[in-house]
Amino acid sequence: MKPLLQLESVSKSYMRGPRELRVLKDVSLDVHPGEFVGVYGQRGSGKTTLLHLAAGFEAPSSGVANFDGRNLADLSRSRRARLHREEIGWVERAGPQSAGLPMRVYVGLSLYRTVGPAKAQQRAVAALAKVGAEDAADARWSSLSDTARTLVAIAEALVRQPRLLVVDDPTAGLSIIDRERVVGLLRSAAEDGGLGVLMAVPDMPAMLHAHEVRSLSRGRLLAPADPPPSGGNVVEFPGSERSA
Amino acid sequence: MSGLSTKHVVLGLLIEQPGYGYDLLKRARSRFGYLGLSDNFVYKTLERLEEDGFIEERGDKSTGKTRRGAPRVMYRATPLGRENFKQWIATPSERAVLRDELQAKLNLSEPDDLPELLAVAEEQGRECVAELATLRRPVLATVAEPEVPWHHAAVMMVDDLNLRWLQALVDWLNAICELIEERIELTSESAGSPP
Repeated sequence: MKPLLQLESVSKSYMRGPRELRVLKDVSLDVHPGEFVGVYGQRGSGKTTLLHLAAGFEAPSSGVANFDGRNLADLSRSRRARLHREEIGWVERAGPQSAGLPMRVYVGLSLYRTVGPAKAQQRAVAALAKVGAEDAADARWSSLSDTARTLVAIAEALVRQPRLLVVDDPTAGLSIIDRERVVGLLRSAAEDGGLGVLMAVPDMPAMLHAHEVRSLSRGRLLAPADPPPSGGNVVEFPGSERSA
Repeated sequence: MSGLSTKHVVLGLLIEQPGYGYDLLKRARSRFGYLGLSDNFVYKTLERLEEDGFIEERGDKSTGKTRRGAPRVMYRATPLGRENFKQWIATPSERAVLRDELQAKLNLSEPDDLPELLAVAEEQGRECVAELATLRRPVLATVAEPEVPWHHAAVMMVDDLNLRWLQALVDWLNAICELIEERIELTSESAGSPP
């Protein structure tokens, strides 16, 4: 299967005064449809820059970031904007620009132009229900817990039915139970929805739910580890089928 | 080995379910493989436990024979053993000590060993992440649910500890790699510039 996202030896540098800061060094990474890839890295390891390159928000200083076989850097600004509306979902806990929106409006906002407000809200409510955040439909962002905000952010990305989800630290500040719920949701988005999912987190327990595990350190992505002997070391305990 | 009481490991296994020597060894290895248990240890421990009166031979000899033809001895915990086990559970636990070979290498190294140390630390980081990919995926959210068998829940929590330990090690390795690299760089800069 062709990778959905393909980073080929990407590097990224910024100028900090006279000094060149090399944030990413020669990073290569593939995400296939239906695959959940987790990148582990502490603060300052280059995680967010990696995700920005993957989502096409920034261009690499060298190397190529391909989405569905197309070099993201070669696309026109409007084509890239459309990609972000339709095909690449970005998940972070940022929330809406205007604080007064109920979540059914915020989550559906990106669909208003194409399907109209009534249908957009209907789909938004369905997306919220799908992630288990139906209670948030009429709430404002400011009143939501961290967990609910994460779920809303995932719903906001999923409502557009993207092909790739790029997720920045979804588990920060969550309890163990909520963390598993959120990461389990991302895994099923990949497995059941066929999406490619790229997630970066600073905590290893969240990584166990990913199909592919990488570690980013000092701007370098550690080479993929040899696959585990049988590939079957994942043990499902009773109750793991519990839905989010 | 840390101060873990292997006596209580065997006693606990017998409280779970009566058993004979080889069966206990298998069970101990599958649950406590990281202790590096020797073949002999179970038999010695059984003797000690019996002397203490914490276990006893189960009367029936109908459980088959060992390969050498001797009757297989089934053991079970006595009420005194159960009481002693309960006390052990309630006793403050000794904390494990991390004994990583790299610590010793760091301790004993000289400045000109830094490039090799860096390579070794990087390799160890890679191995840790490779290990991560082999770990089970516990669902800790189910630990609190009474219908989940307690032994499953306990195994999940132990796995979680191992995982957090691994994370701490990876974070430490990343940190020292960064510092060693910086030191190598600054050292070569100061060596290269005229005094």
